[in-house]
Amino acid sequence: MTTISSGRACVRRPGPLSSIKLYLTALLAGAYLVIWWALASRLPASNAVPAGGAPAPRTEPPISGTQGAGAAVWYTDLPPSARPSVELPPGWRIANTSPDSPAADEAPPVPVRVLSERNRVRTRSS
Amino acid sequence: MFAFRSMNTEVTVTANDPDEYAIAVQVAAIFWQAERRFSRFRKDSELATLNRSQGPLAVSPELFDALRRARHYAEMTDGLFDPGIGADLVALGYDRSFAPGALDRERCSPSPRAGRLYDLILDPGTLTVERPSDVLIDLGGMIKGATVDAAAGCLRTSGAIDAGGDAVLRGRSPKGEPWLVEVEDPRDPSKLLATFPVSDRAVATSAANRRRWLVGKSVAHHLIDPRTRSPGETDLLQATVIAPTAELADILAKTAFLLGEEAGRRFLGRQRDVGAVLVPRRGALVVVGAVDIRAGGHG
Repeated sequence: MTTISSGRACVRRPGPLSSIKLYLTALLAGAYLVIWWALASRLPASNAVPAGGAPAPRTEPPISGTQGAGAAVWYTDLPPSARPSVELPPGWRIANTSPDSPAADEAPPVPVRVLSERNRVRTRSS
Repeated sequence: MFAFRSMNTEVTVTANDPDEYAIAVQVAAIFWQAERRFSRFRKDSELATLNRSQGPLAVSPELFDALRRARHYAEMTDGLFDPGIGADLVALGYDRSFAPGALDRERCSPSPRAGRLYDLILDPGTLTVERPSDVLIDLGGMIKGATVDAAAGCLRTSGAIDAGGDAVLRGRSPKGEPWLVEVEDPRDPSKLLATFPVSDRAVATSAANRRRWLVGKSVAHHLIDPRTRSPGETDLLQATVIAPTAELADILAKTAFLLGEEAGRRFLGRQRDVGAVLVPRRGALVVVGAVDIRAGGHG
């Protein structure tokens, strides 16, 4: 059976005062954005600080592959002697270097107990 | 018995061991790692990276070894097992993880140029792989079998690892009896066609009754015949193979399915230490090798 609830039957219609409030809010927000943009564009690019205060990563020229254009390797797949040096900005750290570590993203599935005949296995295409 | 989902199927772990749960957790981790490395559908998997690569790519020893084994199986099956046909699967619509109805479409994409596993350039010295752009690798069934084999290494005594029909069965069941393998009826999965006892062996089954989808008014399935580059159609409905490893059982089952009853029976008969139960479209079950078939009946 499906039950349909009427929810709130009474809906208030916006009055003229609400419209004025809305206009004022939009006007103030627009003014704030214009001022913020004007101030931000005055800062030199080298002094720009990313949101959250974290230092920007140092940019290096792209590393060219030894196998020709388009070659790509995982950093960790390179022999240690061939790895380019990577300098982390102060305060940054490498959270995980192993693609097999459970910390990399989601965790392995959690097994759950099931009740079944414990001497039979059904084979099928899957 | 414990269960979890991985590789788009249910995996069960049964161990005659007081630490059964701990073993199941280890097995889950093995499947999770294998899926993250070998999935064709995860953008962040190493296989997906290889399938996007242009030029030589240094890969992990695990992926390199899997490709080397795949090439061995391709030679062993005269190219009927060919994980290089991923582009044909994508063109048919198998471009995401399978779910009933999810792959249905009005028409398939234009067929790509024929890509074969043989076209991969494998350099064992540097563990690099060079992939022609028309070769997309799909290691699905082989890796599922290999992962079941690896997971069976967690069993300290007897037990079973079963990933949707690809299974390794060690020793005896917790009831102290031989493990019984039930062969599902591909025409009606609620029924069984046969059971047989297995110990210290692996089983795998190939059929076209589950991973199938609509392309317009026709039905496509996941078992691509590299000779025609379209879903294989033979006089077999299903092939179940018993072999020393689940990886081998999976590849032999797929090959037998694509060969059909007569050629499949001859091919399997040439393999050492292998048994099989074939389900023809018409007629009785075909048993290859020493398989102690018992009654079937309802599931």
